Amino acid sequence: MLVSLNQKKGGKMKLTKKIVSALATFTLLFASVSTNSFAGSHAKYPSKPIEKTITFKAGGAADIAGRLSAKAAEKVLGQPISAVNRLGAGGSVGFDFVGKQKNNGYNIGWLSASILTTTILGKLPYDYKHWDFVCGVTVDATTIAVRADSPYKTLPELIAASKKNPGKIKIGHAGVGSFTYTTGAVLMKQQGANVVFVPVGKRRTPALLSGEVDAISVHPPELMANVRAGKIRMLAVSTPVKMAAYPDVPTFKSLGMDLGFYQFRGVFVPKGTPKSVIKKLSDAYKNAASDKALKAAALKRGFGINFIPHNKFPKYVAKQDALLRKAMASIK
Amino acid sequence: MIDLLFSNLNILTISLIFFGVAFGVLVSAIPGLTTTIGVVLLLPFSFYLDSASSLGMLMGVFVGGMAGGAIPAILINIPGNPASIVTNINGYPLAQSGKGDFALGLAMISSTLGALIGLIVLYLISPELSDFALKFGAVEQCALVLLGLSLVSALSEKSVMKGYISMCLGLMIATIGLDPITATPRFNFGTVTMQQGISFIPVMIGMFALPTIIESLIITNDFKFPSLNKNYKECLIGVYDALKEVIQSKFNIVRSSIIGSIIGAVPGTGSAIAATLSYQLTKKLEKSEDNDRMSSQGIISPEAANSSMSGGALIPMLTLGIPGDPVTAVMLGALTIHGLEPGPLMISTFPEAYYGLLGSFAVSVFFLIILTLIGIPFFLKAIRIKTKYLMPVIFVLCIIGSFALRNSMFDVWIMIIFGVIAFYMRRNGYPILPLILALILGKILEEQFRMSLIISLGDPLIFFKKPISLTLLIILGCFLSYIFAKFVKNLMKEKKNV
Repeated sequence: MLVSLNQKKGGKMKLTKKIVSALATFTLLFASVSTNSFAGSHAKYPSKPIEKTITFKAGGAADIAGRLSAKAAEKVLGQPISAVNRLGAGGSVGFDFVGKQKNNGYNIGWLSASILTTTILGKLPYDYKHWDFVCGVTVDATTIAVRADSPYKTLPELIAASKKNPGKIKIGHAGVGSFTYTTGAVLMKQQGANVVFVPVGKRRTPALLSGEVDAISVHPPELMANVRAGKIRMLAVSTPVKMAAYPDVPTFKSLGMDLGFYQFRGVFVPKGTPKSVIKKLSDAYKNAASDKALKAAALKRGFGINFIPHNKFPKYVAKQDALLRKAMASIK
Repeated sequence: MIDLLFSNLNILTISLIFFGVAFGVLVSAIPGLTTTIGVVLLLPFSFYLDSASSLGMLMGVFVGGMAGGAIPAILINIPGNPASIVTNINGYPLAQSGKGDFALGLAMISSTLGALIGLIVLYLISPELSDFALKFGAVEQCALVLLGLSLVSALSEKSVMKGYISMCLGLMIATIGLDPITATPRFNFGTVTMQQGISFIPVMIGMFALPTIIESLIITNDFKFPSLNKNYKECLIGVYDALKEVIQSKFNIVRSSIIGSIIGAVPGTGSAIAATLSYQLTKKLEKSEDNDRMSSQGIISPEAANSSMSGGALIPMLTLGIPGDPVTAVMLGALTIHGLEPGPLMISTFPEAYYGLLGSFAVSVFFLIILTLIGIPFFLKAIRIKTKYLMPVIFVLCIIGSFALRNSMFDVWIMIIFGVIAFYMRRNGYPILPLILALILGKILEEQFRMSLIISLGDPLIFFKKPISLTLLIILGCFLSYIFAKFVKNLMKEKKNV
């Protein structure tokens, strides 16, 4: 009945109808494709390849750590782990994706402390209890770095200078809500420094080199080339212990400025993944922590290895969440 | 230094470079798959190869990728990748009038020359240019983007007003997602997926490809792409004519290549901006009564610019360790996998790798011209495939391309929705390119504008205090007053006629 009516109208109406019906067909096609029918049993885990969502850009230090650790874990598990980069909205898209997958151990994710910052900021409508946590594998420092020709030789000097000239010192960062911004901002707030934070985004290193900003708050891996070339100087790092890749740089702690929260990276899974599976994954990743290739990459790219097993990691995450929540409320 | 350029080459490296160029041309010639995806696809192989071969291969993909996008742009009016988003404006009509071989020849020869100029710039003045590119801070990028947006009229030949309407639509869409300064979610309807904003790649794929698909499959049953019934020899004559035309346009080639190299060297830009900006400038600067002449210039300019951009984009990556565009970001990863550290020390600590990379660039350019010239008659044959077979394939590739970008189904829906919007825009005479350009530039504009004001502590005069941005703004002022004067003149004419 409807069809014949439309046909009578002809012309434009017909065209619209054709497009709509074509789109409806596509929709049906997609709907049938995207329903995942396989449930799987955990009798002998793992019995098929595992998909690991990496929420960082391909080729970056965080991505390399995620991929190399997966390679080492594969050897123990006996099944390949295929890494897939799912980017967007500071990691939220990837975190959300993993949370929505089947909790059978075949969908795992590579997280950073951003999983806490994004939830605390309300970018995701739930908190860290939305996932289960497997183990911590690596740790990234946050550093306050300046140009080599900068008058500030140490972090306390920079802070003192900012108090003398309020609003004169500009610190570049990746964006409000990023972990590196949070670290820098909380540090400056605690020390009573008076600086201007500039969200220079991807142009962090160029902005520092060109003098648009006086310092940047970033992860060291992106600076290593320029640090080794003597163009950029790291003033201090946020990790509790000095990093093997740059043993001369003092820690916040040694300067009496410990913040207590760190950029940890590790493995997480959808809520409700069986305990036995989590333990198996954690044991496999323990092998990764002593992997030669990962160690070499850590030294070269400037990150650290800090394995936290499955029985301690959830508590660690909860503690970090509490610390970060308090710290982030203080800079709001 | 010259001897270091080719010291790494052996049979394996040369054949991998050849494979890389062919793969790059192919990947970017497939609508939906971009050069970035091509490089990412080959990245895992580089784990198992030595550094010279794997980097040679990736370099080949980069060089080939910048040229390959022009092929579908000219033949089926769908740009293969962002680098060729303006090539189809003049390229497709040329192909329709039976000069597909000539248009492809123009594109391929200017691509090769552009890549060559980019390489020369990279070889001779990379430290100097990287210092200059560093000067493009927030303020300068803001002025550059404004200039690009104001020249939108050059992209909308039929109605300037409709061009600007389309541009405004693009600017509005660019505001969806997390705001660049305070990371506040905007217009995301409370969903997580929309926080990432609307990426321009699926929009581009959808807006260019879907209207053609809808048109050919649903509306006109006798839809046909312009095919050529020429034999191999006749095609070569067309290519020879193209070569003559390119030689006559040497100023355009050099200007577009220099624009391309500079934009490539400025971190945070990309091939689409390089191609569009040099196209807009060409349309405004070249004055000729001859329509054929103008449309040739419209192909030469973006193709030279996007290929020279690859040389430019390598400059900050190699000299500062900062990628100039998405492709070099992946290459940076590949370099570090092999223990090389791109940065200020690259030339002195790894001279062999540095000059070896330049050498493989040169070899890639050589293969590019050979491959594309031999290929032109075959590309022309490919579109003789019946549309009812060709179109479904293109549609599937568009879906794969949109999905592969971020492994996200959301992008596929974006591709389809914008494809339908573009279909209606095209039927009502609204150009789609201003929308896509505004989507790319709008995000940069907002971010850099607000950042400039944070740096200046709220003082808007900062835009006039810096020499580069002042120069760009003066050029912008000239163009705007020219457009306004023309508008008033037309208005007066209309009144007189009434």
